[in-house]
Amino acid sequence: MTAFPGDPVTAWAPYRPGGNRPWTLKLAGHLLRRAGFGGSWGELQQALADGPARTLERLLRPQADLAAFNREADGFEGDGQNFQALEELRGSWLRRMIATPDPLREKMTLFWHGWFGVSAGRQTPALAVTHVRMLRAHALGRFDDLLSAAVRDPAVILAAGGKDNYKARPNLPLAQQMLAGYTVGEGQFTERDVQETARAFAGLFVRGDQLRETPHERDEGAKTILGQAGCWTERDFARIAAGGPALARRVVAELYRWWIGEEGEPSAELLAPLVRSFAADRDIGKLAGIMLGSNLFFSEAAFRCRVKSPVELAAGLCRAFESQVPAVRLGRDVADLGQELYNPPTVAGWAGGRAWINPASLARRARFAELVLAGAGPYENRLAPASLAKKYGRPEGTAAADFLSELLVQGEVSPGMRSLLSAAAVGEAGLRRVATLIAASPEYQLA
Amino acid sequence: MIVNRALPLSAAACLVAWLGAWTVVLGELATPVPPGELPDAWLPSEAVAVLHSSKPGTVLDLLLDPAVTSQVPVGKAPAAVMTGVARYLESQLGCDWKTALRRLTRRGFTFAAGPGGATVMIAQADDAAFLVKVNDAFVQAGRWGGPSNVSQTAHGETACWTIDGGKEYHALAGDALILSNRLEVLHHVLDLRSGAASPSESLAGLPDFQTAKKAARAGAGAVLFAGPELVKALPISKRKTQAEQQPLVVLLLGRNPQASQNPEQEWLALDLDADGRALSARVTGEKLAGRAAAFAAPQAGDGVLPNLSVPRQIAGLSLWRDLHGFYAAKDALFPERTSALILFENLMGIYFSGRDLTEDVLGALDPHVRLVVAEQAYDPAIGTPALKLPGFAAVFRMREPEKFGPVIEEAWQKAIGLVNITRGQKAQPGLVIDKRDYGGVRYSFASFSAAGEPDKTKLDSRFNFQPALVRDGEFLIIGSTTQLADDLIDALRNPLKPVAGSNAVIEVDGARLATIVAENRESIIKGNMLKKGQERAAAEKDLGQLMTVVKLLEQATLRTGEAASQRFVDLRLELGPMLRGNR
Repeated sequence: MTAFPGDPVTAWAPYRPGGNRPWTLKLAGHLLRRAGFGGSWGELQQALADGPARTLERLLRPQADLAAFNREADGFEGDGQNFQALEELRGSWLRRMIATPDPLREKMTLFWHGWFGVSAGRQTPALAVTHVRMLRAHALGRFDDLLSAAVRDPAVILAAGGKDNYKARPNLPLAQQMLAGYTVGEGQFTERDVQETARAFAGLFVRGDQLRETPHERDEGAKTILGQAGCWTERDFARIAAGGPALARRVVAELYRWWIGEEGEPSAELLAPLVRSFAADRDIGKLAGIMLGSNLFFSEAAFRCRVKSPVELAAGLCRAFESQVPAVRLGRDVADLGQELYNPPTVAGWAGGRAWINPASLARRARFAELVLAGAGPYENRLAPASLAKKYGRPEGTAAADFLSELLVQGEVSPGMRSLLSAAAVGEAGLRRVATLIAASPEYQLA
Repeated sequence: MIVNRALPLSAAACLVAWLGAWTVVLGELATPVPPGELPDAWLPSEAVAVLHSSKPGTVLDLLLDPAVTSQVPVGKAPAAVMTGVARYLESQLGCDWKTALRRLTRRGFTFAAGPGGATVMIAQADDAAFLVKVNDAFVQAGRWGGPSNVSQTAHGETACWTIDGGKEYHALAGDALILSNRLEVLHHVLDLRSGAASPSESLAGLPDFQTAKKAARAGAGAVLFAGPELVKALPISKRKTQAEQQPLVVLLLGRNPQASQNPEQEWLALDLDADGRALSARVTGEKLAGRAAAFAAPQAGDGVLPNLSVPRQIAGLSLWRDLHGFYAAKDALFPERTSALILFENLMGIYFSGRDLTEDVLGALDPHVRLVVAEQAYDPAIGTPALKLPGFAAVFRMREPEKFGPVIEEAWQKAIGLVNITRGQKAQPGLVIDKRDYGGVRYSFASFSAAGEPDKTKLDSRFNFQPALVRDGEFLIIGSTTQLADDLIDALRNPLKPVAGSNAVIEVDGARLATIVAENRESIIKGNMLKKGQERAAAEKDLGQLMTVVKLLEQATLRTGEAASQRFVDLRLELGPMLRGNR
């Protein structure tokens, strides 16, 4: 793995393995971690065999029977009219993340969940489910389509404080959140933009889980939003906001943090090619393809420089060990680690990055790894390192320890740690201990 | 019985154990035991569990019923071993193995387990020649491991055989074959039988066991006695201890959580009817003094009312609970929950307009309380919920209906109003309160409107509820559906007399329960997949096993109360037509 050379063109050019930049298990694990929730042994080996381009193509356009999977996964959320309680919904989503053949889409759904910061705590499960399904549908599509759906999503409007939008009293907090939170961001709009955006949303009311459009409350007058004048409605607002360069810069910068690295601000020069491309077509999937296939992504500069969120940590462990676990309980434990699905702390979502970790949360993460990999207890021995090591023909000792370290951290352990793990990898309990030690290690906590 | 070795698991040992259990040797008994009687005078008092069948044929009929055997998952290895055993037996004895079993166990079979895995089996039969053949086969099988694998010693005047290098021991004593996995245990049994050991060292000398023995029904086909150690280890016993601090649990169980317990006296007697159609379990031995709660102790001659019977009934629960006495004793019953109970009382004050909960509300109710759970038949005009929940209702008797009726009516309407406000805050549809006439009774109910529902075959779960409050003479019905309220109005037309001595009776209809489980199959499977982390196949298998158990059960009845200064818990399970149809 080479360090990032610094030039934007080279940085975003597709990574081509060869010479001193070979395609390795380490890079395959890196891609599967960032683009999804990590891989099983089979997925890692497949990626290693296929190379980066084919692996990325499969992540962007999976060949599995997604319709059948989604039907089954949707069924856990409810039957169309009736939805589970939030606790079950959290479990359902985690279960989907663990099993999905379309991990990139699920990872991006999680990203947009944080972007819109819709908390279902004060909403009905039906609204929460509908909202996340909308995010999933548009997760890798065009951003203007996503935004058009979002501005008419009752869950988003309620989260932004927009339950009532009277013509006589335009809802300024809603407009503020639409501009600052969901689109162009702070400093990119004026007070007048807020007032005019609020007028564009007039006539929309959320009543009984439904968005109602009340014609006589519509403000038919002309408005100027982000420099464009016309008789705009919320749909026009979405189009105008999505089309401007400010939003493109913001989306690219946020996705840089999500996929490349959280430390430090990337320079405008570095992001410029991506911003130009995204502003032109607003294609999230295409942006994902460029970022995740780039020289920069596969450089040392991007390696293990993101802190795994609790969801990534938990779903990743289950995917690695090829097993579902009691998902409702998993949802509770993930919430205890600081990430309560369907309930971000604010409309700005989760802070992420270093905010995930402090001495107390690190101890909780280690305890979580121990709990989920325990031979008994709430996870009922679902994650079984010994069985998995045996399945792949490396049942004990150094071979088993190496297998688990390759599976979880692609062999990124120090020689001292490797000796320790090899010595411990005896018997079922020993292999549990090895897996727990790796899962609690700093390497595993970083994506 | 203080030995710490497990039973051997080799095929030969299995054969030895199996044969030994069904073998009898003729002779005179030092301590005679009438045919079919439990030989408790021979069993050491340390026994923690005893299984006895005076009519093993009944048990065999049940166990060999195709409806049962087809549902029992048998692994390949055990199946192969059993097949080998059966073929060997049939060749040695000249009859099929089922016939052999019935002949070998004609006069009784007893199995006892003690601490550390020690076991004793006693088999009695009445066909001497056949038993000799069986014993020969038994010894021959022991020699499969080599000639030295079988040896013979004497204990007093009794011959004792040692099989498989000391893994099994048996003795030929009178008309019985006694087999154990511990030599010292076998000797102890022989000493008890011969009178060399004191009768006080036997189960026959243990008063609590004798109480349990009397609790087993006369003529039972088979009886299982579980001692205090096992009763304490039962999951229900553990849950009882943890949950006993919860006021509602205390009220339902009718136990004083502060009273000292004496589980050392508790024995469980579980018996199977002679016709093999019903299982009964009774826990006895717990002295009433200081244990039973006063609020659950009926006066002499009083007791629970029989359960009400309504169409599509799943379960009925009838309780004798002095609600006034229960709540008046709250400080003594729950000394650590005073704050929570004061909060609860204040909340109730809102519903009951400041009336005193103990005196003016609970004191207005008679101790005879009945609960009913019934499957719903949904009104096609409204539609069917996707998740079908049973209806449930509580039936009380009011001491002064004219005075208390309006009070509870007001409280009920406030509760509905509170539900509506809470739902309204979440933008959810509310209930509409209305009046309804049925059977000459005009009563209040509330319902959700189904107008505008897009798919009436998959309605929201709220359509399982149509809360109702019925004041029918002295009776007060608080139900989750008008349908159940109507049925209860009909059921209450038949006057019923209390069953003296019982303070709780629960009856569950297995067939109805199976219907509910079947109707919610997909929801249950998905729930298990989510909550247990199962894959679909595993969740379906689990549910299939649950359905098998439920289908086997026609009726379950749990009765608690007091008799002869003993508190009892009596569980009766009647087996369903699935089994009976195969007889």
